[in-house]
Amino acid sequence: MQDRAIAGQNTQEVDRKINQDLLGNVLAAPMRFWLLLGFLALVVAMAGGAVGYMVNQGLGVTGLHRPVMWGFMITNFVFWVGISHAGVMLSAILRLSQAEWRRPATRAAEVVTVFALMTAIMMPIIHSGRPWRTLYWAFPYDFSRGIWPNVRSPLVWDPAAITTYLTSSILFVYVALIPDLAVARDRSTGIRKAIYSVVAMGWRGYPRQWRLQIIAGFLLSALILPVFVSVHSIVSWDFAVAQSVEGWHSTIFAPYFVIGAVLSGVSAVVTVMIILRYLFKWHDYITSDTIDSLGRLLVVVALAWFYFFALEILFGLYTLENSELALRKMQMFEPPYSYLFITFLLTAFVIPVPLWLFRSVRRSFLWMTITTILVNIGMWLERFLIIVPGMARKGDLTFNWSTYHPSIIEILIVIGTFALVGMLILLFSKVAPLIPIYDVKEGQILRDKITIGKVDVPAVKREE
Amino acid sequence: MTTQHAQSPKWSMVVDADRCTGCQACVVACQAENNVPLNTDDIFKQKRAIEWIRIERYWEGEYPNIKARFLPVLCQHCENAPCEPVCPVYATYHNDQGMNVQIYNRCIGTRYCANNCPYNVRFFNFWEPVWPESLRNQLNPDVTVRSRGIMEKCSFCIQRIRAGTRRVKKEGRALADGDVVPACAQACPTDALVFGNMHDAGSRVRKMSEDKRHYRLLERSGTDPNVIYLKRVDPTATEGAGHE
Amino acid sequence: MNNGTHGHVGRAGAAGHDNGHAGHYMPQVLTKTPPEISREILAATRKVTPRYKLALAVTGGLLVLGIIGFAIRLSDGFEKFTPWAYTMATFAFILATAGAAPIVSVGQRMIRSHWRRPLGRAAELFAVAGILSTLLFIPLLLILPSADNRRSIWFEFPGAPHVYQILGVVGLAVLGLALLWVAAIPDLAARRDLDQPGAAQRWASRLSMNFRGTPRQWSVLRAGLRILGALYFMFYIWIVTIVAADFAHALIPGYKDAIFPAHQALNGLQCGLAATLVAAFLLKKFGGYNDFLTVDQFWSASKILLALSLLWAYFWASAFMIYWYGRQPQESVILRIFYAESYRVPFLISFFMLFLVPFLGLMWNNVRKSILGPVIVSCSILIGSFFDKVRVYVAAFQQGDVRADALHELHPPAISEVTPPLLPHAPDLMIIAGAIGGVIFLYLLAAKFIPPVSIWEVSEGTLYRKTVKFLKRSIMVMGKPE
Repeated sequence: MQDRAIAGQNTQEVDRKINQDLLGNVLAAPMRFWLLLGFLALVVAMAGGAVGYMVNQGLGVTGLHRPVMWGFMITNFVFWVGISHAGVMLSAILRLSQAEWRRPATRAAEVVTVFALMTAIMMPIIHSGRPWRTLYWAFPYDFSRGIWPNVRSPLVWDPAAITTYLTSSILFVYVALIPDLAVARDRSTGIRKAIYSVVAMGWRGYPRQWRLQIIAGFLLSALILPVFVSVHSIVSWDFAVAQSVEGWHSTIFAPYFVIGAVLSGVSAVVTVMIILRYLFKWHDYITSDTIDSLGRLLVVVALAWFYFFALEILFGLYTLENSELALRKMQMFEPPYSYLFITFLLTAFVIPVPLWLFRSVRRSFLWMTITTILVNIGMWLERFLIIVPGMARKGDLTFNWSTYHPSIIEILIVIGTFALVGMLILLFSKVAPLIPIYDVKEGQILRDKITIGKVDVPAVKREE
Repeated sequence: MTTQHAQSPKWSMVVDADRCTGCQACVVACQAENNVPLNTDDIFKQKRAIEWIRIERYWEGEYPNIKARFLPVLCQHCENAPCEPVCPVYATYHNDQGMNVQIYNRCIGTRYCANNCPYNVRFFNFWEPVWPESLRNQLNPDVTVRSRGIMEKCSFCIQRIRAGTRRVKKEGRALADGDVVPACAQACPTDALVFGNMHDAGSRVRKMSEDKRHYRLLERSGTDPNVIYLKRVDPTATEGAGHE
Repeated sequence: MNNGTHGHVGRAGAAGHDNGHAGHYMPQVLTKTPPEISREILAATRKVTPRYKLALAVTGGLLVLGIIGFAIRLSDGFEKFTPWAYTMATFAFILATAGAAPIVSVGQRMIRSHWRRPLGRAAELFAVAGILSTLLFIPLLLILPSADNRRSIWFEFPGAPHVYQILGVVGLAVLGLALLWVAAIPDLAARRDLDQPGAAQRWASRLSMNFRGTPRQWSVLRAGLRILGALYFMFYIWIVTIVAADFAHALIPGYKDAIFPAHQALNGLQCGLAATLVAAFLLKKFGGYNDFLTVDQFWSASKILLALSLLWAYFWASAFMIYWYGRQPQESVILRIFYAESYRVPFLISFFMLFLVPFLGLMWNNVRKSILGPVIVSCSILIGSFFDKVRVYVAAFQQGDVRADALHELHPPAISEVTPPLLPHAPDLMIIAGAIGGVIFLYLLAAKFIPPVSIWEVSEGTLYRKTVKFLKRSIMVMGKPE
């Protein structure tokens, strides 16, 4: 529920104001937009250089070795796949459950999904030994000899799940975007108008078009949910089916990863929304109420995540096997992992969750920015602490135990992915409004109130 | 091997931990035979040394009563190999002779197999291998030189197995014990490594594998290896060396 | 997919278009005023029909039968696990259904949904079963060895596991009753004010704590409900986790399945909702609450039921997948016991009834939007869940004695033999019938004292909605407090 109605005397005036506010950046971006974009592009270029160097020289330039064969890049892959869960979580579930406060948040969430997923896909590809041959990974490459990808491998399930998810998320964004593209078409000129005309697919706002758009939105919401759950489950199975790595072979990984992904994804959406609010002055659209609701959602998700986290640790230690104990000892008590572990626990749970219990924190943009960034620091470390110590303390052959130090190349690549996602979101905001115009307008129309005694309770018009 | 003509051999190795002195002759022999890249100081420090067979050294006891224990570890050629199902491109598979084989051309280097190998015997070429000019002619022409970005591991000297099988066929007789000897077993001065056909009831490996000292490495993980270890004969030892 | 009827009206820019989907649906709006609601619900609560008396007699008889069975079982003593296997499964089943049911009310109250209003009390009334499950738990507690020198989730924590188990089970029962009582205070006050003087009225008067409906009392009541609800939820997850861990997981050597307690907790939520729907159906059909419990409740609840059933399959798959792929010796033995050989039949039944029936049934909107559809699926879930508990707990209790499991061994013992399934004996069947009959018996008794449809929540619901003319059609406006 929004604090206040968008100022305006009548529907038309409100409409105009909404168009103006939300299309402002698409039609004429402010200077600070270009400055930020330039900076991010620079960082991305640096990371691109690092990737080029790595492909040219070989994976020797990373900190990987035997037995720690996966490191920062796979951590980063899991992290970005996790972030990508925000879009569906917010858009699909909240759309199906008709939560009103979702309206300004959906587009940003979906766009974060798409770009985070694109970034995530890059990670395992550049991380493979021969990236130029990775097409064979997911596609049969030799029909004549009957050689097919090995469907028993989780690394084949991965591309299948992720491309399905990416395709459906892009569709999801696009279907919700069409009415807004039509608004942009009607307000632009020249070549841009031509492009918008094509992508708006002749949208005129006829009843039949609306009906199709609504049905498509709902169908996609419902169909995308199983995909959403399966993607991170499959990513978790990359680890969980590997019985030889200490601490990976756990039955809880799939739901644990999914709920962790939702936690980090929703946090990322809050961060992104608040940044965009400052960047584009969307004070009327992204309000304290929006982040308050997201904050409540985060409390529930964080508690559920903690339950799974506790089960994972508890049942990991349960058998008291030497190798398991060695892993947990490294993960929790041996520097530098111990510092990372403490940081992870503090930032992912101990600091933010009690803070979110306070209404004033949930409604404060500054506090929500800080806490949600903290959560994502913690969740990145969580993935790292799950993936790396297990390999470093693999099995009973203690002769091979090792540790892991990332190289500067890997660090650059990780930083670059953050810049890349930021850059892509900014570029998108130049092309299409990041707050769904039609959805906000619809919310305005459906707003109502009910008077009980002396109190006005916000209400919404419902068909059912 | 008289009655089992049609049956393909099942290659196996017995490692007698009691005989191993940790001299590393097998490591060097393997290096030379299989065109394994040179393990320089630098590579060792990076922990990226490629040793298809390595000697694991464990210390037992407290100073001054300290003892070094040696355990040669090579690819165990598991019947139930965890590395095989996880490869997305079928670069590693099980052949009909009980061996776990690696197809270099197919490998794209996801390194998943290395993660899922409990014995840590799969190696990744982090760098393009280089040999000094003087060693160029030393390379074995029967073995592919692996480029960077792919996995490799002990092949049970498959080139020798093929050569031995061909020779035996040409001579028109069945495989006998000793027709095929991998480089490590050939080089071992104490005869700690014995290679042979497990399907051959008279072979040395078959007999040695029935020794009461026999065990398999990390037996509990259910990988069912084709490499069999014989326990060290040591009244003071408390545990098998593999169970440190 | 319920999209057709769920669509939004009048998108911006499409003003005035007629939403021409098939099956445009207006819910049955409760047009009664709050005084009417109080009068009708109280009348239905007071009325004792012959059918009610019959049900009471039958379930009471079952309860007596159960007590006899229980007494026979007591003669087996508390030395061995195996004789108590089916008692354990029954306890777990009661915990999953009756223990979880109040969460339906708690959870929905938390997210302030409107459809739960008439349904909440039917769920909360299951809290009375806490008395029975506590009694059933006593022998189980006696056979459970201490955590010393044995692998468990407690790691020789002082007092564990008994103290925490008792705290959990008794705490849950007490919290449940407290929740039921607090949520019923305004209704008890209504009984106090509107009933003829008598025993029930006197008790209602005593328990209504002088509730007069002052703003302060309401805010205290709401705060109390929020705290009790959150506590109940957390307690429930806690107790299911430790019961599953101690009474199933820790008894099977070499079993390591971190998702197992979470799966049990999830199954509880599924059963709690199913039990609530069955109870609501019976209240609607035979209890005289037909006007209050409408298809709306069943429709909305069945969406959640479908989601929970899908989650059940998901949790199952993530556990099964890891074991299947792992192929380690002890993993295959456990798969053979739980799924393939010993307990194949209970597994297939539970898989069919907990997942396939709900999924294939509730995926259709016209099944969800009916009374009978969700109720049949709920019955299927309850039966499936019972077999699930048998599969898990009987299999675990059968594994024998874990008391000697020494911690200093290099490798923990692992299960290596597939045991034949353990079938129930006569006393076990008596205990099962008695426990289930007992829960219904207590529920029936309580439903005559506390109105099984909440008067105050239903009345409150009427305040939060109005009908307005919008464009060419009248639609409903729903208020969302806060």
